[in-house]
Parts: sequence; C-alpha cells; structure tokens
Amino acid sequence: MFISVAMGTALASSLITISLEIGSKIAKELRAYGANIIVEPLLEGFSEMAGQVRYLREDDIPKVKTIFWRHNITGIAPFLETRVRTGVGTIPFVGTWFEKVIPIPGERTPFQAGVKGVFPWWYVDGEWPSDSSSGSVLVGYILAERLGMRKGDNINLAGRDFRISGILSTGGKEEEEVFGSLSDVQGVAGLEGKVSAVFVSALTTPMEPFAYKDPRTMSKAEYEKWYCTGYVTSISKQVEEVFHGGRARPIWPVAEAEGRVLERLKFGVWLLTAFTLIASALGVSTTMLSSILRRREEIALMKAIGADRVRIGMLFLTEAILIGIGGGLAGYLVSIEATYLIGLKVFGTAFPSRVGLLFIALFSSVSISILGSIVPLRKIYEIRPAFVLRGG
Amino acid sequence: MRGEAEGRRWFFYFVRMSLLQRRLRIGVACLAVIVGVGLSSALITISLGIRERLGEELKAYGANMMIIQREGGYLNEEDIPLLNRVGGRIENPQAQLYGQATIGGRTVELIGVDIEPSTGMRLYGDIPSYGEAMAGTILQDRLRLSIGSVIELTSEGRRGSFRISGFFERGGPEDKAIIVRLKDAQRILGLDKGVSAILLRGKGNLESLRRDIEGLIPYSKVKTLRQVAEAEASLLEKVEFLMALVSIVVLFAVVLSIGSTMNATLLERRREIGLMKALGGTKGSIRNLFLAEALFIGGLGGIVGLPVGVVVAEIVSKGAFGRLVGVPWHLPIISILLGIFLGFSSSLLPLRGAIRLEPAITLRGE
Repeated sequence: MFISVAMGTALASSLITISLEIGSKIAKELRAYGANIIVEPLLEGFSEMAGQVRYLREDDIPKVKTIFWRHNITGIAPFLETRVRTGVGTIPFVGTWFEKVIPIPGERTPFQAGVKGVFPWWYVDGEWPSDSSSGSVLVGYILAERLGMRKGDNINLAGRDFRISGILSTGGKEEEEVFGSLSDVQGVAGLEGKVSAVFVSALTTPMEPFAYKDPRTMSKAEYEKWYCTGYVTSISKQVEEVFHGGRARPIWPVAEAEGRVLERLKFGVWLLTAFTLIASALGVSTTMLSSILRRREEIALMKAIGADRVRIGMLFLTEAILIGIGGGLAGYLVSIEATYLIGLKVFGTAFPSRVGLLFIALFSSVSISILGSIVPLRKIYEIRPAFVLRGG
Repeated sequence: MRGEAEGRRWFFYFVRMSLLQRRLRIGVACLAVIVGVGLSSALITISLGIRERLGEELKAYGANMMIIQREGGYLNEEDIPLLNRVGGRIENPQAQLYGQATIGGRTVELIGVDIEPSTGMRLYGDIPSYGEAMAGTILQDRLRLSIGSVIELTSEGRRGSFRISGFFERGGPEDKAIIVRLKDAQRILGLDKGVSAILLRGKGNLESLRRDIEGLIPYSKVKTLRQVAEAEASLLEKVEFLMALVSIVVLFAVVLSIGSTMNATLLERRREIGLMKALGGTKGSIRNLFLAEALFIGGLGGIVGLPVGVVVAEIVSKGAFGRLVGVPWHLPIISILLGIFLGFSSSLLPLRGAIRLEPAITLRGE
C-alpha cells in the first residue's frame, strides 16, 4: 500500500509540476517561430503623405528591457534597411545586431540581443560577423549565387570593401540581401544612431476574448487587467511607449498560434493529471482492499472481543493517513527526481522544484489514501466474526 | 500418457476453482491491472496522436512551403490540381497573386487570394467576396477607410471598384496592402490564370516533398519556409519526447503499484501453497498454477483496460484539442500484452518468495 500511495503521489506531483511549468517551457520553444512584436516608425499626416522616411532611435532599444514585462522579453533584433549601389546594380544592405550584449539601464546583468536568438532558423555557412564596425558581412544565399560570390570574397558596397564572412540562408527574402553590423550600415548610409525596425520576441499570455477589444473602448477595470497581463497586445503597447515615434504591432500569425498551442497543451496535461490522480486513488483502493481481506481474521477477532465498526474503521483510516503522509513524502522526492530528469532530457533545462508542491503532494497523497480507503472500509462492516473465525 | 492428460485436467480444474472461489480478490487484482493498462494505453494513444493534433494547431503559424515560378514569373492556376498527385502530404494549398495597383494616384500592393477565416491574421469585418476588398490596418489608417467605403483600383488602364468588407492585421509588410479575391486580382492585373505563389503546409519529409512537387509542376521551384518548418519540427519532437517519458514513468509506477497488490494477495495464500507442497506439489507445478492465474488476471485486465484507456484518451483529446484522437490499430494487442506482462512481472517476484518457504513453517500457523 505504501508503494501504491508513493507511486500515485509521485505520478500526480510530477504531472502537476509538469503542467505548472509546461506553459513557460513550451512558450520558450515557440519563440523559435521568431519575433512576435514588430516596432516601426510611425508616420502620420503630411509627413506620411509626402512620402518621408523616418527612423527609430537606436538609443531607445535597451529601454525595451525596462518595461513592466521586461522579464518576458527574450530577444530583440533591430534592422536598418538601406539600398546601396554596387558594380552589379542596387542591392539591399541591411544592418542588424547579430549577437550583441547590451547593457540595460538599472540592471546589473546585460542582455544578449540580436538575430541569432530571435531568428534561430537563420543558418550561416561560414562565420557570423561581429557587431562592431568590423567590415565583414553576410550575403544572402540567392544573392551570392547571382553575384557568383563565396565566403571569403570581398564585396564593394557604396565604395567600401567588405569581407564576406558567411553565406546566409533563411528560406525568406533575407536570402536576397546583404547583412552587416548595424554600426557599419549606419556609417555607410550616414544614419548614425538610427534603425528602421525592431523585432521583439516576448513570452506572452494567451489572449482572452476581451483583450482583443480596442484598449480605448475598454472599461477602466478591463484596461487595468489588460495592461497588467502579459498579452501580446499589452506588451506591444508597453514596447511602443519606450520608442520615440514608434508604432508596435503584434505579428499575428506567431502571436495567435502561440496562444492556442499553449492553452491546449496545458489543458491536456491538466486532464492527464486529473486522470492520474483518479488512477492512483483506484490503485490505493485495490491495495487497501487486499490488505483488509488479508486481515479479515484480525478484524473478526477485534469485532468478537467487542470493538465497534467505527473504531476498527478509524484504525484503518489512521493507518491510511499515516501511509498517505509517508507515501506522499517519498512520492514527492521521487517526483523531484523524475521531473528534473524529464525537464533536462526534453527541454535542456530542469523543471524547477517547488517547495509549495510538497504540500500539494502531501495533500493529494493523504486524500488519495482516504478516498481509496472508503470502499474497502465498507468491507469491514460485512465481516461476520463467527463466520470468519470458524476458519476460512 | 493418460496420467499427463489427467494432470492437465486437474491443473485447469485448480485454476478454475481458484478463480471462481476467490472472485473478490481476483477482482481487486484485475482492477489494479485495468487501471494500469487503462492509464498506459491512454498515454500511448495520446502520445501517438499528439503530432497530428498539435500539427492542426500549428497550422495557424501559416504555410511551411511555397511554390513559385523558377524564373520569377507566374505559375498557371490550372496546374494546381496536379498537386493532388502527391496525396495527403500537403494541406491547405492557397494560390496567391501579388501585384501593384493604384488607389487615387497612390500605389499600393495588391494581393489576390481567397482567404479563409483562420489564416493567422486578425480580421475585422468580413472576408471579401467578389467585388469586395479587405485593407491592411496600416493602409486603413493612411487612406482613412471604413467598412462599406468604395475604392477604385487601377492598373495599366484596367480598373474596378471594390467595396471594403473589412480590415486585417498580420504584423508584417502585408498590412500596407489590399486583399481582393484571386479572380478579381487576375482581372485588374491582366493576368488571366496567373498565380505568383502557392502556399501550402507540407507534412512529413519536406525535402522529398519538395522534389516531388518540382517534378510535378513544370517550371516550379519550391521553397521551404524555414521559420515555420524548423520551429514546428523541433516543437513536435520535444512534445512527443515529453509524452514518451511521461508514459515510461507512468508505466514504471503502474508496475510497482500492481506488484504491491499482487504481493498482498500472494502473501495471504502462503498457507495454501504450503498445503500444496505438503501434499506433494512440485515447485514447478505450483508456480505454473499461479502463473496461469496471473495470466488470466493480466489478460482480463488488459481486455477491460483497453476501452478504459481509449475513453480516457478521447476525453483528453476532445477536451484539449476539440477533436477525437485516432486509436492506433495495434493498441488492442499492446494493451493485452501489457496486461499479461503486468500480471506476470508483478507476481513473479512475490511468487518466488512464497514457493521457497517450507510448508512446516507456513502450516504451523502464525
């Protein structure tokens, strides 16, 4: 019985740990789909009509890590798109951060930003250029084929020679562009301190129906709830607030699918947990029943010398509770190890063990032993001493 | 010869009587096996089906492959049915035509596509029907459009007026574009049957699918949209692995739990075993007797556990993904074998201990 309870508790508390953490683990995995928020310069009125080009300030970027939901920001990648003349026509020359460590105002640990983290499917044959003004660039795979260039070659962009450190394949339009470090491109284009778009990767809470409402039409309570929940729209709003003249929008295919996948997986694991709890209670029930059957003679003897059913029941229930506590403790310890291993194997990072879970584990183990004992205990009533003691 | 047949008859008689007379205890052991088999077969069903179910959800991330014309021109709409020949490996092929048109002297991107309600965009209003258009939210702001307003699209002398049926936001450059039905776009752009790209979701090995499609449609080039394809592959792999590990842990726990039940039932029969031995039963014959019982319990538990597991799996799948999960054809075999395995493995160890005991000790009484 002890083993049944311990196993039941271990299963249940492992699954509870997994279901508590699976959301954030899978959310991190889903960040592999790329950024879910894009910030672009806002153009309005006459300037927009005149076809002006505006930029965002590079200085504003680190402030993204100072918003209320700063810990949910997992990646930032700025882009500065320019077109440069070369011997073979005009080609897009894009500046970005590849893997840049930026200091965050008010934080001791710096933040690692750049496309390497935000767009994990970018594949470079060769080496990533450094983020300083290094003079090396990545050339998109299709463009490189068209120009007949290979890594290690030099390419002349706007009168300056750059070394091709690698060939970039992404499966998208980036394969027809040249990527240099942001400071190089700013220098070439004469746009110091400017960027044309910033991609932000953020862990978000799945959207609820009300969150789709225009914030301007929300009631005060709704607005507060919306602003203080990590919805993709509210994080966008907060990101937008740190940029001068910026407009942040969710990238909907990414943001929306993420919410749905997360909700469903979480719900699935919860259901599994519930079934495991029921199964453990049944398991305990069968063990309890068999232990009562085994001790029929003992019970019959107790009855024969005058113990009433309630007393005998209490005896068994106390036993069940003690076993529940012991089994719960053992199960909790087993579950820590099990979830640690599962987390490490599947996601590369362990599921954190929570002390609070110990109480949940104990509670569930005691309740499964009590619940599992209810049916077997009724059997005690049916034991007739004369019949049993006669010899079975 | 005759003695052997007689012995066999007695063997089955013993098993039958033992099962019949100890119905409650057998029921308890069976219940333990049923719970174990039910839980494990539910987990197996869910883990095997999760790739497909989760794949459905990941559809919202959009296409993972794109067919374009090799020379950068247009594909012929009439070639699309050729895609049926690759069978069920593709889903949701969607033809799109891109071009430029002007609205009141301003050039805008025009996308011709017959969109479906759930294509990874926020939609405000209705999907356009013929003669209607849907504007991106940035364009909406720029042109100060509202639902019901009429715009005139022109391209090289061809013109058409469209009623705005709604707006969309995707979070990409498309938000500055206008979407009309594919046929309308072909008319405005003067490209009868022309298609710029076919977006689709490929399943399974994308690389071999790519080669097959390129062989089927002349002048086509297939690009794998790595952003979606790679993230999806790694996510599905992880979730499957997670489910597999959870199943293993559950199975392990189930074996232990059934083992303890079996142990308890065997312990109380030590006297019986002692009596058998005293009456001249060999260790082998006693073991066979009990293993036959375990076989029966395990088999019965497996048979009853199967529907239990299927029901649990369907409830979880229906609840989490809104759809039923397919039961793998080999599940009945697995669950019965699992039941027998559980029955056997959990009684072997306690049985060994019980048989080894000297009859004199067990029969003396406690």
